[in-house]
Amino acid sequence: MAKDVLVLAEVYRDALADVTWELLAAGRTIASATGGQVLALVLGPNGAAHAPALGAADRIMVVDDPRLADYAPGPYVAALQEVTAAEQPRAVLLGATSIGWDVAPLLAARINAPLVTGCKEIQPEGEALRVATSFCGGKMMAEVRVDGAPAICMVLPGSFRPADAAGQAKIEPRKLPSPLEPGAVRFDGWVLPEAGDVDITQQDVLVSVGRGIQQKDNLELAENLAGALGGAVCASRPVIDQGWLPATRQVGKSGMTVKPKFYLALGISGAPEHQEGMKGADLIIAVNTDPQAPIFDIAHYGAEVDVLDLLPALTEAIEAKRG
Amino acid sequence: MEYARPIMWNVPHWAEIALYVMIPIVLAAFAAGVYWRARKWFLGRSEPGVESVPRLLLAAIHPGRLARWTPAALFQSRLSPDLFALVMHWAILWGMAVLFLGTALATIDQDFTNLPFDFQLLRGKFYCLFEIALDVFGVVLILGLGMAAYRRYLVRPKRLQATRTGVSLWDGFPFLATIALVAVTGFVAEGLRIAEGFHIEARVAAAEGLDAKIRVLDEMGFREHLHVGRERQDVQVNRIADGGRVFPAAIWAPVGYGLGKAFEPLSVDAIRALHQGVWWAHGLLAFGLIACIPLTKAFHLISSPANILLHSADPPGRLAVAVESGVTNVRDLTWRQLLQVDACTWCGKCQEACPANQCGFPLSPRDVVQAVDSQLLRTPAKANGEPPSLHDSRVRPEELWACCSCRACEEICPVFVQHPRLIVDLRRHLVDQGQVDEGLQDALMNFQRYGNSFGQSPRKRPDWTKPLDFTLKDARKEEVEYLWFVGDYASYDQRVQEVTRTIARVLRHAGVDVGLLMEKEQNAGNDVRRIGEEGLFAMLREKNAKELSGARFRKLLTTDPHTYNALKNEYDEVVAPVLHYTQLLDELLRGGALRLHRKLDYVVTYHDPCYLGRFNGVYDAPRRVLGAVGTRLVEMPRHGPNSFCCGAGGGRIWMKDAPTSQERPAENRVREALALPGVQCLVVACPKDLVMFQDAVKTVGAEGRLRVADLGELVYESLGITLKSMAEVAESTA
Amino acid sequence: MNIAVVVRQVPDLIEPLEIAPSGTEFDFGSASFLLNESDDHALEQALLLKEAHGGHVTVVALDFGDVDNTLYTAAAKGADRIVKIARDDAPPPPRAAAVLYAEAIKPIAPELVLVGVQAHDELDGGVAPFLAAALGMPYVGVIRGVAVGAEPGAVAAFKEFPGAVMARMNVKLPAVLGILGADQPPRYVPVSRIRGAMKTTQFEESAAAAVSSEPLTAIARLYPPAAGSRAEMLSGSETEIASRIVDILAQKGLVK
Repeated sequence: MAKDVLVLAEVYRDALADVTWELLAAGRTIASATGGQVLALVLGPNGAAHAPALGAADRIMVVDDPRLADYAPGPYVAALQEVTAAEQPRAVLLGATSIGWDVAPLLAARINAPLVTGCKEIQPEGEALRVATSFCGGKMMAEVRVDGAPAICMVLPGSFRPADAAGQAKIEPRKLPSPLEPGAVRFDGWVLPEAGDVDITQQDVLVSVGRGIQQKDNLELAENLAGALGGAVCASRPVIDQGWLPATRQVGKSGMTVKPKFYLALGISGAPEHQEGMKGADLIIAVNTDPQAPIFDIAHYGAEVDVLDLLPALTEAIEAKRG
Repeated sequence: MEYARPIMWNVPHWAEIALYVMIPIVLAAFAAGVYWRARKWFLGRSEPGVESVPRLLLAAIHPGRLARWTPAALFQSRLSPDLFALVMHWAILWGMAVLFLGTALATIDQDFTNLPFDFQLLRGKFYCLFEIALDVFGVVLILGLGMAAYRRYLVRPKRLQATRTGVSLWDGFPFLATIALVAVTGFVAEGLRIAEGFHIEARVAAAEGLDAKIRVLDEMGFREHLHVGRERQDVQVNRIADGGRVFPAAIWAPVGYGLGKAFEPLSVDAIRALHQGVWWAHGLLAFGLIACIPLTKAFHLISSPANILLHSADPPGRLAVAVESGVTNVRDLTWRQLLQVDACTWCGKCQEACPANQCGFPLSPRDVVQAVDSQLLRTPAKANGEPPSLHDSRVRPEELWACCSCRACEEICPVFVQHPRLIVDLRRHLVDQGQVDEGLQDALMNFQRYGNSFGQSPRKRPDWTKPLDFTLKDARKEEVEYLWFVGDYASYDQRVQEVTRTIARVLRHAGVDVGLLMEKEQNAGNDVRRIGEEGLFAMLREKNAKELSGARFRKLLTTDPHTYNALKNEYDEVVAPVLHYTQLLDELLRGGALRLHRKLDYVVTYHDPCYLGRFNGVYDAPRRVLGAVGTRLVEMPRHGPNSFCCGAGGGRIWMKDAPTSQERPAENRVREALALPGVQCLVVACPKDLVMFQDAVKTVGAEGRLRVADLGELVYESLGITLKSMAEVAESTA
Repeated sequence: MNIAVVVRQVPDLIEPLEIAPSGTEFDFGSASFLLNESDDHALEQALLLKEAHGGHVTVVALDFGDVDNTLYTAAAKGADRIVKIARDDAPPPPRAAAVLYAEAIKPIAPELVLVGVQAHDELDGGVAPFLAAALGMPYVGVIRGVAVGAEPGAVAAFKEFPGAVMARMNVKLPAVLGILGADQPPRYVPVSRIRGAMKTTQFEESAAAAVSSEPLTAIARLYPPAAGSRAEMLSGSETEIASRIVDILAQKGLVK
């Protein structure tokens, strides 16, 4: 029986995808149940450079092929297929990323393997896997039993506590026995967003300020926090109306619609017009002195404190964490 | 001895003939011009509900209709809020009219009585009256023109300037200046004629003896000047030789008399030559003016009264729909709409009243009308094929989408143009082409799918009733007196829900038998229709009408003025009376069914919702209720029919603000309320107003300074009941 | 260009999803269905390509839910042909459904097949890549925008990556694209046009092929996610709240 778990350590623009360490952690849970190993697979000519960050894996395989320099589904799936065939893992874990959404189903179709998307929990159960998966826009969960191997699992980012990079894995360069086909889909260059004022719709982290910020001078506190978090400051309509921030930073019905990974609503009551522009954020934390503020209806976490008190404390705590 | 108006004084025979040749030419030119323009109105489609135009015309000549027409058409009654404009218009119109009528009377006097019968109407005292009337109205006209010049060139109002549609401070200049010249040359000609009279009188006085005096008159060609029969010449000659005045009525023409005195020092020859010249100038300018009327904006002299006469008799809340798929070019409009755009006087009153325009949104209702009219003028009456589209460069989508369909423009328009109808017609084309704002598209999709704009489950519509400690009847299952058609905002908006419940408690307290359609109610479609989604409106109406027909009730009740308007005016299926809750509360208070226990000593102001006030004329009921609860009402400067829209109507509530907007209409309105001394509370009677103004109070930074409250909340407060006693009421009625 | 578009019905999440007594399926008794959002974008993208470069758009759907309304709407928007695959019961899982769609699409011989990259009720992969496999066509997904003209017989598809970065992918035709978003948001089509389409549109029926493959995964249990509609309130001093927030962010990998 197959025991190992293969993890695709996806490289996007010369960096490993954030979800990689979650995949490694999930892989460890499955592999350790049967004494298997976690195998990390890096595709691309410069793959070896990422090995030090993949210490949580037992083995690191690098397919160094010029055709994998940039993403294209054909060579990626072919490489995955070859490695899968060679290693016979019980599971292949990929992130629910732009690349994952291509290669996971294509691989599943190619080798007629089971596929589960939206994975939030994966538990081995005898020879099978029991996967908790989120679907229907997060409104429903399904427990899926996967019997066949390899089970291809596409993991939702934010589902697993990322594995620590500690460990000493050996790099195994893989030369694929057969040369990769160029395929009908070819990478043809990056299209980067236009430079200009910060495009808040493209930020992963937004620190959003409302009336509770009280004075323009207090914006600096929010800017400091945004800096520490690597995000940008945006605002609700009253702040924009005061002219404290440009209109490009406005969130809501008459401003931008944003879907960041983290939206921190500071002193925003959360009128429906505002909610319309931000309710799609992955994580919403709201801070408001009014416990009845509607923003708490859509926030995941809330705190009933004065934003001006919390801001410096939070900035400090984040900087401390970052070291 | 009786004297008469001098006819063609000092005018040579050839000039007289020339004049008679010109009159028919001028009249023909005028008639041809009117025909040229009027024919274009019939490029349009037939008007819904109007079988034939001749029949409509016949019906229009009805004492009641004419009684309504006269003040608006002849006396510009819609200008009454603007006294300056009203006086200016009266002066110019009635100055011109009296002078024209005077000239016409003189023509009759000369051609129809004098020439064939050697008899004149204008003689004796009547002639004196004629003289003074013409002089006074001539002065009035010149004063009116002076007012126009003062306003155009010193005050320079913004509403008279629009580069895009060619409206400018100078657009009326040629016409107004010509009128002024006609008036001035008329006076000068009169003065010169009178001056000659002075000379004749002086010479006659200087001559010794009757024969000599008569000789002097003959030498001066007095008889030739008269253009009357020999017998009447003798009478005049004898009268003057006897020491009578040449123009006995001259003193009744004070301006002419004064000018005559001024010209007296000139020689007789100079006076005669000048008189002939000025007389010609006067005549030619007047003729030119008449011939040009159909070619200039002065055409409104014809088109505006015609439009007011043929104005739709439908209630303002009922939107006429001629083409469901909307208006692409001028031929898609109806003749009435084309008459309306031609009736526009470019005055820009609509622009001044427009909340969108005042807040910096890209809309001037006048410019939309003018854009259509200029295209109409360019379209030949015998148009082959499709005239060019009215959209994009002529009327831009952002203009159309800026409209709140609040009807302020239509209400104020002196000549009864229906701008909102035109805008909705043009919007329909955009909707048909799928060109809708993103927010609006979401709302429309939600209406299609769920029957409400919130994108909420229809099943959740009656959820607002859950916290009540009594249940409301299901009108589909049992008979009720009032079917409460709740509306979207009152049902779904969290902030409004509590107010809706408060009103339910008040009605419960008053023992009103109400029921709901529960989850089967859908949006009544008032705003959907005004967005221009006629098919969707029809679908919503169909669904609601079906549910209504299955329910048993006597009257319809709603708190939402938009719903009220649709049910009352646009649901032909509904025959039951429709009441706004302010009307019901007023009725209950007056009838004693609702007794108040606490006088509220608040100082309040009241916002007239567009669809309650301007569209349906409900102004007094809410004010009576405010009085009954004890509040002191301080009116905002813009109230009643002049109320200022909150900016939510016509689908605006779902659209993004225009990038050019300086403020929102609701903010503008809240500032108006804040400026009133001592006012603590802005009272509303519309769920959308509650939402809009509560937001606006926050955005203008007036939280804590101005409460926005629904009328129902004040009534509830003054009932002086606690929730506990409500429970008792519930028990006792259960 | 000859384009085929697959449109799917998904349960409208506005109503709570009911779980059947078996615990492994939904009870669709009171559910309403609507067009899958990314399929709506796929259709829009197809119509935009047709309008810009000419061609033909065929919409393919399984007979399920409120599909007729969806198809009439598609016709009103400008789809040229509508192919409906007759079915008696709920659509099979994506991999099996892909085989059905492929059967219906093969006779159309499209140069480009556009499918929404994902539907919210799928948990074993999307239809699009499996359809590509069944048709033997290349596939790339997560596409926002398609352009023609790069080179003959190919299109440029813009694949979305984090941070508003797009990869321009050169795709040789025929191919299947998994569409996330069209170049423009789906157009609004007025009710009157939909009603007009109801009168004039003829659906072509495609007989359903038998689904042979055994499903590779099995749902053991459906259950609603842990409740938590209102915000979980963090209490304590500012410092305590700050450190709790940092913990939450660290857990989500937002601070490292």
